[in-house]
Amino acid sequence: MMKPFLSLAVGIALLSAGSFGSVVQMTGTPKDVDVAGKIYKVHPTATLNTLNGPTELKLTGYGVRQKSVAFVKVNVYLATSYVDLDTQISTNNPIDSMKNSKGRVIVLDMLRTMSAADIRTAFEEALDVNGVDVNSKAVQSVFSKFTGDLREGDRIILASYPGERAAETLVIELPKTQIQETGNFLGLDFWKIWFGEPVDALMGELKSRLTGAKK
Amino acid sequence: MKNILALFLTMGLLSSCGIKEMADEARDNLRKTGNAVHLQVLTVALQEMVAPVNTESLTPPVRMFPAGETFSNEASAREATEVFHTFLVDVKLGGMTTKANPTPRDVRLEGRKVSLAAAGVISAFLPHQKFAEILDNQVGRGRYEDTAYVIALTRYTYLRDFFFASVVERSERVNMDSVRKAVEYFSEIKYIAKLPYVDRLRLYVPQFVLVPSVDGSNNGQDTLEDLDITINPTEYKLLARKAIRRFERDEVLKDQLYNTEEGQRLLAIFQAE
Repeated sequence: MMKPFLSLAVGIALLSAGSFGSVVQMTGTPKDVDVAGKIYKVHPTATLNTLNGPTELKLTGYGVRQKSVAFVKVNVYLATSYVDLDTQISTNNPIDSMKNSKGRVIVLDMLRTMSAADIRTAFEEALDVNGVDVNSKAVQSVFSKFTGDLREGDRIILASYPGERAAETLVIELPKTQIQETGNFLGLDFWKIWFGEPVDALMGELKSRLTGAKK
Repeated sequence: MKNILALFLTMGLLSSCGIKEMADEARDNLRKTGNAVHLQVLTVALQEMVAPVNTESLTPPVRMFPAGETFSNEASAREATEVFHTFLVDVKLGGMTTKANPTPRDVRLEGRKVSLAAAGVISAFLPHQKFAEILDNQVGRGRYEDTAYVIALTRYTYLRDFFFASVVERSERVNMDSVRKAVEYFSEIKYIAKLPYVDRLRLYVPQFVLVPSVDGSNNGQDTLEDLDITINPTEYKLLARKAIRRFERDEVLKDQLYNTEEGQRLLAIFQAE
């Protein structure tokens, strides 16, 4: 009797864009992480609240996404990755090891101001490198809602969880918008941005930090 | 009568010699003035490029662009190569800073960054013919062969990260002129990526990048990393797809690309192997 009410409540929370509640709650005692003199909180655990119910997640790693612009490295965001407690991330083939994950979350704390279009372009490029059909209906639906500016200090949360068969729901929380889309392996496809074929050497660096291969 | 004729002839000869001398002198003066103007244009452009007010921000070094363009258009292939080479030497040695109270390390790092930015700007603004001439004159036979490879590398990097990206990634609105410009940059990027010696295009500068400590790494101390840049020879395909995606996002432009002769021709340049 309780479960339908819980699902309804979560559903309402998911759909109430504008003043939406996050699908992710950070838990545990956070660690202060100093990035270029600014302190960011990295939690050891998190809870993903979806129509499937709450899923407990553990930290897999964190690191700074740097981008080389001509010959200068710039900090773009601090990425923090979580997966469900049962998933063991393989450092050799992390995407494969995340296939059956009950929940995945990536938190991006912006270290510089960018437009959502910039992020979209970067995501599209990484998806392209990984052979994901960027023009697919699901991916385009996600990107069409990717609008607005992201300022330094803003947070983007990406969460994905499985549905029936290969269907996966992807939730992207931007400062003022929540995007939700379901598609075959949609979440896994987006996770390839960080855990698949790196779009450049610096993304490879971040990948090894997110998988815990490099501390 | 004979004496008068001889006198006229002598006068004629003398006066024609005078005219020739005057013409030669005028030509010589013009050449000198031309050279002086040429050298002045180059000198002023270089001074402008490295002036502190124009080197405050180097990502991208936009304030260097106007003077850099002037220099690259005015300089001969030889002059551009030699000045680029000088900047490259400075990248390895050090120079100036824009900080009020610089540490010795700041001085060295800032100076090297400014020199590399100036070199990059010069290489990026070279007209194609001049760039091709540099490669022709240097690769396999010139005193500045190593420098020619770095010129190609910095040109590629600047065209990709600043010029091509400014159209494809940073423009709010795009139209057919955006496509023409993107094709122009893309063609040059592809030209470099397809050079038979692309594997020789590398820029390696030891201890060039100051990396701040993250999360107390390296005992909280900043570290100096090497700069090591090469070219991925297949990257141009990704850039082409990125451009097409961006242009297709605009419905009007998409229609023009697929349904006009010019649009199809430009699209074909992106799609060609």
